[in-house]
Amino acid sequence: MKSILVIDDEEGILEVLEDYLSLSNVRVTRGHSVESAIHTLESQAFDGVITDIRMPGGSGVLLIRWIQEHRPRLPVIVITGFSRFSHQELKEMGVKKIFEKPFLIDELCSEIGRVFN
Amino acid sequence: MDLSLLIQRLNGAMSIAQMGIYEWNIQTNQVTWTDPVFDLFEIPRGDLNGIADAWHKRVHPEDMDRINQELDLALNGKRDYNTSFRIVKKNGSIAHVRAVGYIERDEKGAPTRMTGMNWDITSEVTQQEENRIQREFYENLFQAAPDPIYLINENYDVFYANRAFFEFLGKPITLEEFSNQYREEIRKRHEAGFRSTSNVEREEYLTLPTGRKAVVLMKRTPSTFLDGKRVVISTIRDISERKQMEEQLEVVRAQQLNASKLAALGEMAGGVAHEINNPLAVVDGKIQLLQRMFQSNTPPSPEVTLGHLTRAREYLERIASIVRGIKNVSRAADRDPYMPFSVKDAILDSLGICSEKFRTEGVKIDLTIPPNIDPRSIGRTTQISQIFLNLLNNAYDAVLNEPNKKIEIMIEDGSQTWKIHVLDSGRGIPQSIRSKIMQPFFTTKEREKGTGLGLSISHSIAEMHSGRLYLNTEFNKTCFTLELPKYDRSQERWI
Repeated sequence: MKSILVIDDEEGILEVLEDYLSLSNVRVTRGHSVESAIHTLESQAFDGVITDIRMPGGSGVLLIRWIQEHRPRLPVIVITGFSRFSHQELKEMGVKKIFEKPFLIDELCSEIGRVFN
Repeated sequence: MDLSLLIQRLNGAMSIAQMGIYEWNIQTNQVTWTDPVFDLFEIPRGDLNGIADAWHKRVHPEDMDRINQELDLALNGKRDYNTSFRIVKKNGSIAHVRAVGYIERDEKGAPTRMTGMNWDITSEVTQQEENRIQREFYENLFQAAPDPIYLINENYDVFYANRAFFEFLGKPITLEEFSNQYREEIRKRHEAGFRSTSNVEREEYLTLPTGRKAVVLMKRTPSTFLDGKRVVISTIRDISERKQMEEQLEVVRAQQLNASKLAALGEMAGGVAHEINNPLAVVDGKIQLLQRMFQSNTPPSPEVTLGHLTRAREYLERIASIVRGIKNVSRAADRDPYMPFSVKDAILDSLGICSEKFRTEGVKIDLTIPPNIDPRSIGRTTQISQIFLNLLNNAYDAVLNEPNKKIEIMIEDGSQTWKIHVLDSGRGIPQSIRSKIMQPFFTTKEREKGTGLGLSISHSIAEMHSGRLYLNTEFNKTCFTLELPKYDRSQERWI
């Protein structure tokens, strides 16, 4: 069973991903902010991270940079509704895949299977 | 009575009146003058030999031929001798002389004697001349007036008008024709003028004989002539061009209003995309989840399905409220009728657009409405939302770099108005620029972030709604207050 950390300030997104991924045998840990996510990453191991970019209390980019520095082997997928950063810029920060909201959960799932190994 | 005595007395009376008598014996060609004639021609009294010489010397050369012709006509019996001529005085001045004469004839009708009078009419002629000059002066003044002026009598005849009036009509027409053709119209427009005792000035719409439609400022002054006739003096000022310019200006202003609104919306646009995409992703996710569940070996229970659908609808409602906000704030509203509206809804429409941007940047928003009130005003709700959007945009920029990012909106029940306060936790507006903030194009923001039109346009929208927008210094935070007139249900019948 895979275990991933999902960070989004939108409760509904976390809810949907958790319900959907549980059908595929993926355990979702919810994170509501960059700060709490870093806290969680420091104490737990995950197969991958899915994060939003634009969030109150700090941009997802801060989290991506933290991961790049402290957990360089941890794969990251970005789900974003609107971002100042281009896909190219995000990939240069080590992001494996970017999904624009709204996205197809099936695609996200197969990407999770491919990327988070 | 002795005839000679009578003549003597008559002579005395005439002398006092300075009227001279002459007698010309045509057969002997002898002329006799009384003293006033000698005085008039400036030769010594009684100098009978000097008469012929004086006549030729003193009568103005330009008048001489005419006088001789008139004299001939009189002698031939063609007409009476009753004329005037000028004489040149020794000092070069001109005197005007009236001359009349009576001709006696013999049995064959040949003239034998001419008796008549000469007297000085210089002062009358001068007076007449002065009167004429004066009349001409006033006539010229009247004619030269750039605005059409015309006079109307109680029969609604236009009996006098200046050149500008005819030019205004734009078609050759006599005053009589004009009066007859338009009498009823003239009556309608000037009746009140005759009844009034003071100037009446108002804007009127006219269709001229050429078919041109004009907007004019018409001033009617009732007056009474010396002979007691009542008249109305009307002055027309053609303001068609000015009106047209005002209308064009109105269009430009409306466009400007729209442009600034779009700019404000643009500032919010990024937030809006995010705001819509988030709930959209949730709704979409819920549907995909249900599809997947129904396709699996263990389809979900009705309770689980209903739970997901209910959540999906909540998120759809969030999208709907954002779209409503954009629609309500972005549409061109400058032709909308003034309608009663909820002040709270106007605030919510603008919040719908920017709340996501605030949330994302950690800006806290507090909306406080006293319980049990439903603040309503009258006007264009879209334009009022635009004011809030501008105020919220400004407040957002003011708090963005502050540790404590907070915007408060409070509605206060003033006695005559609703007061809506928008407060922010920013650093405040420096005293030195406070007088300029409502001026168009004044901005402290960077070029991309502000047009400098937000407050000035909000200010004029508030005034259009008989309201007020001002920097309120009663609070110790930065506060802009919008005051709107309260909508009163009793006004409903005339809306």
